[in-house]
Amino acid sequence: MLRKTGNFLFLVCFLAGISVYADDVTVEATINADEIGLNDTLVYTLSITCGFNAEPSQIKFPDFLGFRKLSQSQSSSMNIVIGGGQTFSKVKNYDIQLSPNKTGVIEIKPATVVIKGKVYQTRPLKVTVLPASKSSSAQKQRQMKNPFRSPFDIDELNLEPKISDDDIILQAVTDKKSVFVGEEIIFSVYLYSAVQIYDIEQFTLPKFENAWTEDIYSPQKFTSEQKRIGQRVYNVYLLKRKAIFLNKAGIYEIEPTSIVLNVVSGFSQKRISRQTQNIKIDVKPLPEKDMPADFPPFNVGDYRISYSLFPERQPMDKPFTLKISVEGTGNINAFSIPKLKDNPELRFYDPVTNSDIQTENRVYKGRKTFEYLVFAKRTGRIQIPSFEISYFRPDTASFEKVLVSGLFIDATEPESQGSIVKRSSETDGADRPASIRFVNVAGKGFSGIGINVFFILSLICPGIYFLIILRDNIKSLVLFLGFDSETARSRRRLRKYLNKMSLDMKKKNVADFSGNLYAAISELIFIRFGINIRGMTRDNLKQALAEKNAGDNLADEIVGLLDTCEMIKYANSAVSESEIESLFKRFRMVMRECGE
Amino acid sequence: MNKVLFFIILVSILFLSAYTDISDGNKLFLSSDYKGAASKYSEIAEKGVEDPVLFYNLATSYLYAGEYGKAVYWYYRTMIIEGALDDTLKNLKMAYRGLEEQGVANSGPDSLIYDFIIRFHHPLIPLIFVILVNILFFILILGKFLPIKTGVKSLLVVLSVIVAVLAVFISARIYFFHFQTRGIVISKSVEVKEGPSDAYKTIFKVDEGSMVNITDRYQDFYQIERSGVKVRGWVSSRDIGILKAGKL
Repeated sequence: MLRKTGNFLFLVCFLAGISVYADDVTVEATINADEIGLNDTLVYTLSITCGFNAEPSQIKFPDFLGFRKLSQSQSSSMNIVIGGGQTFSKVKNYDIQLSPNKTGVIEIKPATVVIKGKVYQTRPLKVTVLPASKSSSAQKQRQMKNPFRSPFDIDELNLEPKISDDDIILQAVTDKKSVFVGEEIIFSVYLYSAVQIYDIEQFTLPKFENAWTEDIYSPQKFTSEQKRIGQRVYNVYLLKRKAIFLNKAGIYEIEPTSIVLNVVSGFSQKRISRQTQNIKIDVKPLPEKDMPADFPPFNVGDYRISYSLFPERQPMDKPFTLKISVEGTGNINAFSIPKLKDNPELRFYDPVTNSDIQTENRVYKGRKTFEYLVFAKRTGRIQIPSFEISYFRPDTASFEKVLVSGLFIDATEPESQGSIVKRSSETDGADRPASIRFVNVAGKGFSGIGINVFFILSLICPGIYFLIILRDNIKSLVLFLGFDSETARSRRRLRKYLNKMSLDMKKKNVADFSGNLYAAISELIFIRFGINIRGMTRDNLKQALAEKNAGDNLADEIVGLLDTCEMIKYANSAVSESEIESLFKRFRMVMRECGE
Repeated sequence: MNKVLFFIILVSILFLSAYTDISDGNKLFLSSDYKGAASKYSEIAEKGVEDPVLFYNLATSYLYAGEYGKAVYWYYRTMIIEGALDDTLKNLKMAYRGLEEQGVANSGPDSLIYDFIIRFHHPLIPLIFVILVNILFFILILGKFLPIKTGVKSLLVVLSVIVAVLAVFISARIYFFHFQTRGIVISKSVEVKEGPSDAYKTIFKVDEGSMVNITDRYQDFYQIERSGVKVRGWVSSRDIGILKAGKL
């Protein structure tokens, strides 16, 4: 009883302790450093401590103006302290990694947390962002400022080497800072590393909005070259190279590139993040002076243009090919030429274009061909209309023009065309034969079933039905076809004689009755005992029946009936109707005894 | 499980093997190389592919190339498979008109029943017949074990009539296209010989595009008979395209 009371009291005290400390809420925001470099990462931690049964219903983080949010993580823990009063609380930590966008003193506004309808605010925080070059000294200063050294702090004991900002450098560069609209800019991202890289966790390139970009170099596996910078030797990795073509005049800003990577630090890995600075490009408009009308805006580069027509002579029903080839450096994929329009003598089909881009030596260049299929509408020598292809050369800041002219085709009479087709094409009438069917694959669709398959399929159910009918009528069929045994035939005859005997009884035909009765007895003996009584004496018959275990009474009755039949037949003795019926009954009795 | 997988793979292989690319022929046709297109299509047809699109395109290539007898033959082959569609009939008429323009007197098919069956055939008819006949007998089988209601009995009567009509149509088709061999003359003005050799005397001539009955074969010669003429003679197998259906 006392033990139960003690337990109850302990539980009351325990719960009371919880209820007391449940309302004790602490919300605190901290940063890992007051001073950081522009290339450093700031860790903002929001710590919420509350009772066991309390839960924040709303958490509003500050806007982090002047920073870029890199990542966010969450962790929770419980604190239980027993002794002098129970402390039972839950701690939630939100860690946000931030990258500064600018230098100077940046204020981080308070975070707001709502717990059980009550609003809690953290205090505002201030951080000084120094230029990138000064960040390492700031880091050193921070280290110097720390007067406390924990005996359990492995970093402080220098068991692991420190990764400084100079150990890992991310660099984004362009080959030009000032270009014309549509001119090629090569954008490259390099990673300089003086430490061993374990892996790259995240690599974010700028979005390049309002720009046409083409990949030049996107390695699946990074390779490095060694480079000495000052006193240090770096492994230099080319992470990405792109050709960028800007299509709008003005100042274009390439956003920062960022990377998060894991490096080998002593016996463990360390997560490092780096970010480049914005790159500004001055984009000049194309000069309006000498600009051809309808000039394609992407025809900017250093190109060589050639053209050819082949064959020069052939039947008019076959196509001539006008091939225009453009080769050089620039946005070759976007290069366009004027569209050739049909005229009364020629018909031009839309050109087939082929691009062959080469990114050798990590430069964007290549060849693009335009193949026009040209059909002559008449026979004879026909000139291809002249036209101009123009492009802008950024190095000379001038428009170049190539005149495609002096091309002739010689169309002869078509060779392989029937008179019907020829005449209908000349008159352009509706009586033209229908063309081929444009299906690329033969064997598609249902084109009938094979004759053998047809017979098999069409006989499945009828066959089953036939078998069922056959099964039902098999006996009749066998009897009809006569495929039965001697016994069956004998039994059939016995049935026939019985019918005849019935008729004879009705007609009072005694002679026929006795004859049929005799025959019926013969058939019955054959059916039952397999004895053919033809030519047998009565004694022989009795002996044979005895051998077949017929029984004396049955044998006597059979012999008696046979004798009566012979007597009626040979002695012509008068037999009354009642005697005939009696004979019939006796025979039925014999039949029954024989199991028929 | 392995057996099922094997069966699926086998069926897939058989199914895929039925696919044949005719795009090369189509490209040649579009570039107006009709003879080249016909040659490409023929290569596929010689492999035993029975496809109405292939046959139709081959016929159309011959039509555009002015080889009307061969065009007629391949249009008939197309119709044997899929019946007479609008474009096939239109082009067949054009092919006959082309023959007439070349001075070849031709009246088209010489058998009314043959013509009727070919024009009103559709590859789904035999399949529908198979399905209906199976339904009919399935109901009859059920009727052996279950009592059949009056409504079902009238359905049985209707089904029986439809099946009977389809059976007559298909029987006629089987007779004409499988048991009777016909052919189209695909060469210009073919001389019909008394015997199976060029050395025999010419007894009459048949025009390009004509339909003939094939009554016998000896080595590379067919014995043919033109209905109405009732005179038989021998022609080289090169000059005749055989009209025999492999499918219903």
